[in-house]
Amino acid sequence: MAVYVHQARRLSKIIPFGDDPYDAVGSFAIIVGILVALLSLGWALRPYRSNPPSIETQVYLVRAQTCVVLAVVITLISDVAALARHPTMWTTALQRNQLLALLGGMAIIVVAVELLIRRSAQGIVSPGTQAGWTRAAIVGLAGVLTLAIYPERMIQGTATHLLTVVAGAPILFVPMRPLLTFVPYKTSTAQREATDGKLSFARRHRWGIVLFVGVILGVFFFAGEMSEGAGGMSLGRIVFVAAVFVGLSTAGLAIAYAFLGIPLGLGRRR
Amino acid sequence: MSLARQIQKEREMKKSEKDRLATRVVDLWCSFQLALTESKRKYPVQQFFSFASAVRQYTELTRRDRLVRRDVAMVMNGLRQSLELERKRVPGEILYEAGPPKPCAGECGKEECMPKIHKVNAAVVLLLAGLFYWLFMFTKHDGSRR
Repeated sequence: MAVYVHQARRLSKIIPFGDDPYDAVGSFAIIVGILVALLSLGWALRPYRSNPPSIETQVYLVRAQTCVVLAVVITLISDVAALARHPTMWTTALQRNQLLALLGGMAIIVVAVELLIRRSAQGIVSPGTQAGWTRAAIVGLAGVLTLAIYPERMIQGTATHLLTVVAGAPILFVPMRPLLTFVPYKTSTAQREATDGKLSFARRHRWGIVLFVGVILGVFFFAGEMSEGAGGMSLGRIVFVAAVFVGLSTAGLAIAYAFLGIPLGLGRRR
Repeated sequence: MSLARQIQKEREMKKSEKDRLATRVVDLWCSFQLALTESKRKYPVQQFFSFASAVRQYTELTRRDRLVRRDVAMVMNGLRQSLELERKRVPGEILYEAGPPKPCAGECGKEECMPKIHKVNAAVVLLLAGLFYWLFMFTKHDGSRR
């Protein structure tokens, strides 16, 4: 454990992606990645009563799993963008090889998981179209370009720093949408589900639920931060920090839902 | 009055077209079955794709309908399973066209559930999210950075 902490401390000093917007991309990716991974596990393990899970449900499950993979991939790309912008921080450091091994190892694992997902989706999805590939490539390149030219000095002021953190969410979620809808139906086998036109409670109050989860997560992160010591902060300062945690997590989750809700089958139409 | 009659006429034409296509689906299914019994070696791929094409046309025409013809529904119900049972070796393209395998009925007791591969992948993806969290905390968020 002591070795682990020691290594982590040494490594954290040489990485350029520990600051925003790169850190924000990773933070939102972790929150959404874990939530979507749990959602995917729930969909996979829950019993489906008398009806078997439809093609539609299976497509949403595959998309949810792909979403977690994309969250990791986009974070790795963001980390690489930070490394490319600040080569002096890490190229001559002793821990350089360890850093590259960690990132490279993660990249190999994520490719292996994506191959597993693709294998499971063979019967239910069709290959992406040329237009789909083009759209995904353009949005992906725009995301990389944003990271490459983002003015990092913006994190020096409080308001602009908060804006930079919020900007991390679109950088992560905007490219995800065209990449996720790459998992389309194979129309010839799609089963049409009967709908009676009524919306469930969860669908009617979907935005309320998203905001509620965002607030709960913000309170949770704030409590985690405070457990490490408030350091004699004034009450006003504590309230401000709490508002920042709650506001950022709620905004991040709302942006995530706006872009991923419909592709994951969590939108109004399902 | 003439407009109402015209609409009625169009409806009748559509209905007769659906009936014609439904009959064609059933006929082509019978032809495919016949071809299956005639040759034990060669799989009647051509007949199957003619049948699949007719099914697609019928599905397209009845997209907005709440009900489909009973004989078509009987043919389509458990299509992939019946194909798999009839021959030991069925070409992959036929199974692909016939649709995904039926989910693992009975594995969860009396209830239907997700195919096993999706369950395994869901667990793998959760592990990936956990590993990603660990990497994130390991490289960035140790106490010395705060």
